[in-house]
Amino acid sequence: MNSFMAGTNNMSNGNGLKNPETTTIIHSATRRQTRRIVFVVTTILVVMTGGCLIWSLRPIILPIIIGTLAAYICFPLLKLFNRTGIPRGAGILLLFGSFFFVIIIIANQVGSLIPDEREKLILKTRFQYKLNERYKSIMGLNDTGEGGNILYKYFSADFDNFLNSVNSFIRLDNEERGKFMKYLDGYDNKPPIPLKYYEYYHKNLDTNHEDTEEKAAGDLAGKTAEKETGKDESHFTVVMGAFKLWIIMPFVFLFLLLDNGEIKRFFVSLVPNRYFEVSLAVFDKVDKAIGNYLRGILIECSLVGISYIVLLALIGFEIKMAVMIGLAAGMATAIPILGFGIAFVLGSSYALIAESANSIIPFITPNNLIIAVAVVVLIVMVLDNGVFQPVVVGGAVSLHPLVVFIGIMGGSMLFGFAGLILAIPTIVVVKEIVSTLFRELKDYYLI
Amino acid sequence: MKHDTADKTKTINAFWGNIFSRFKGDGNIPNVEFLKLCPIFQHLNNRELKKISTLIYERKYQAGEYLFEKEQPGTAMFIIKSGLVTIVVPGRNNEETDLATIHPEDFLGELALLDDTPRSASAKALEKTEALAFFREDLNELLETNPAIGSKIMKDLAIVIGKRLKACNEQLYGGYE
Repeated sequence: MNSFMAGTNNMSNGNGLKNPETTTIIHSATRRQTRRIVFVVTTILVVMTGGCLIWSLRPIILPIIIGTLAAYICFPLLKLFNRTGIPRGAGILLLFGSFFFVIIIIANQVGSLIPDEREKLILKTRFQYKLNERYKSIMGLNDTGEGGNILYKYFSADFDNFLNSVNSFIRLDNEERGKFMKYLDGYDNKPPIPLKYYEYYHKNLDTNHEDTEEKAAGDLAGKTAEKETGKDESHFTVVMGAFKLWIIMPFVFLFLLLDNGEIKRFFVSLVPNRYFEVSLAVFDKVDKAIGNYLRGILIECSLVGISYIVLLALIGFEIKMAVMIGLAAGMATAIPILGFGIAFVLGSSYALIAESANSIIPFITPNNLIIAVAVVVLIVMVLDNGVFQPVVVGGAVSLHPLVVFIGIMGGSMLFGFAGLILAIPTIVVVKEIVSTLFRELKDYYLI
Repeated sequence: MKHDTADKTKTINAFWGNIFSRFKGDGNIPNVEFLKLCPIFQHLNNRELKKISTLIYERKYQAGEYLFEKEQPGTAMFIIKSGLVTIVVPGRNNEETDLATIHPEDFLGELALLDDTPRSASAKALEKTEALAFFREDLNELLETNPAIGSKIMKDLAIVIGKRLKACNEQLYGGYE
């Protein structure tokens, strides 16, 4: 009772009026609590809205990310221009022009490297034929599919099932068979398909136990005009759709180069005074770490890509194929662990269908080309781990293999191929932000 | 005894107080004009000051809020645009000893422009205060991209630190002469 009275006395000044100091404390506590609730609710709403926006705008995420990466890579160049006396505006103009020029060159080169319809049909036919031929040779089967070595005797059911599923995936469908027959005699100003590939085509049909090419070609002949028109329209739509999405990339690049610290200033202005200095330190350290990592990974990917191109050309790959595989394998280097696996799969896939190997190394033939590919991948792996990574990336970023696998799976499920390539750089960036933030908060005795 | 304490505070004030202040304005000066008044930027021309003004962070503090606290790593120098700031050293039982009061156009924490060694004292706003913060890494970048501006700032910073060292020496050893 006494304590209750004491408490009451504390709350009033004896005239039944509340003590102003106590009222201020209560108001201050209530305000703090309200502020906390508003902060939590706002954060949840912002995160949810952000998540929904990212999901619905995911087609433009890749161009934005690539534009941002390109800008990040160019920041040191802009500083270099400034240092050498080139005005900032002129430097930006120069970089933007170069960026556009490089994009056009890459688009043009990649476009010419990508096989057209005729080449795709030939590649598929070659691949299926050579795959079955190699399978027979490895399993010791004769032309009629009889015989077989000890490996085949024990595992024939599994291997056959696997081969059948690969065959059903890569074989030409009815429409493609019709097109193959058209291209066989020359079509659409393209040279006729060599007869050798027609033989492959027939062998493949035998493998598929199908003999319907005449029927398919006949069915398709009547529909050619209609389909060509439809194809042109869809091509135009696809090109326009891609253009609409990718046009954002140079603008992201340009505006990030033009930014004179306004974006950073805006975010820092939102930070409470208590965290002002720590936020500056975090921004700076994260910026440096991410910049170094991205520039390092770009140089590493380029070096790996160039190494593949040179070595694959040396072991007898066609230059066009060596460049294509080198580019893809170089990009795949951004994915730790899996990058070399992808390079090997791509290289060995071509080694399977290679008709000849024009290698300067005498003992490499189409039959042992796949071993040469394995050696090339091994050499590049040693070069990457022993030279490129320590010198360029510096081993600053290490991720647990489990994180790598989950990241790649999640990235590819959410954003397809772009997610596959960009998952690891994104995880590295997030990891760097979180670790730097906590490290600095500890240094500032804030946690 | 009381007299001794007052003398001590006066001595410390002489160390911490801004001995370079030339002009006491009304606190509503544009940032470029305001930066001109700071000894660290006194040799910069208008174009260079404009460049610096794009690197400056404007912060507003309520009475009782800390600009920085003792032992925290320093990252920025602060120039007081309006309001009052006190330099305090936290003691036992949460008591704070006032070392100096910083007025508009004075600056503090300039050693943070050199490295991130911990702050030797805390700075607390005594009233509503507006401050301009200049970040160490921005100065480092200036030294790379605009060495002319960066070197002028570094030279003036060295002069400021040298003068403060002389003032400190005089306060410490002046009595023995």
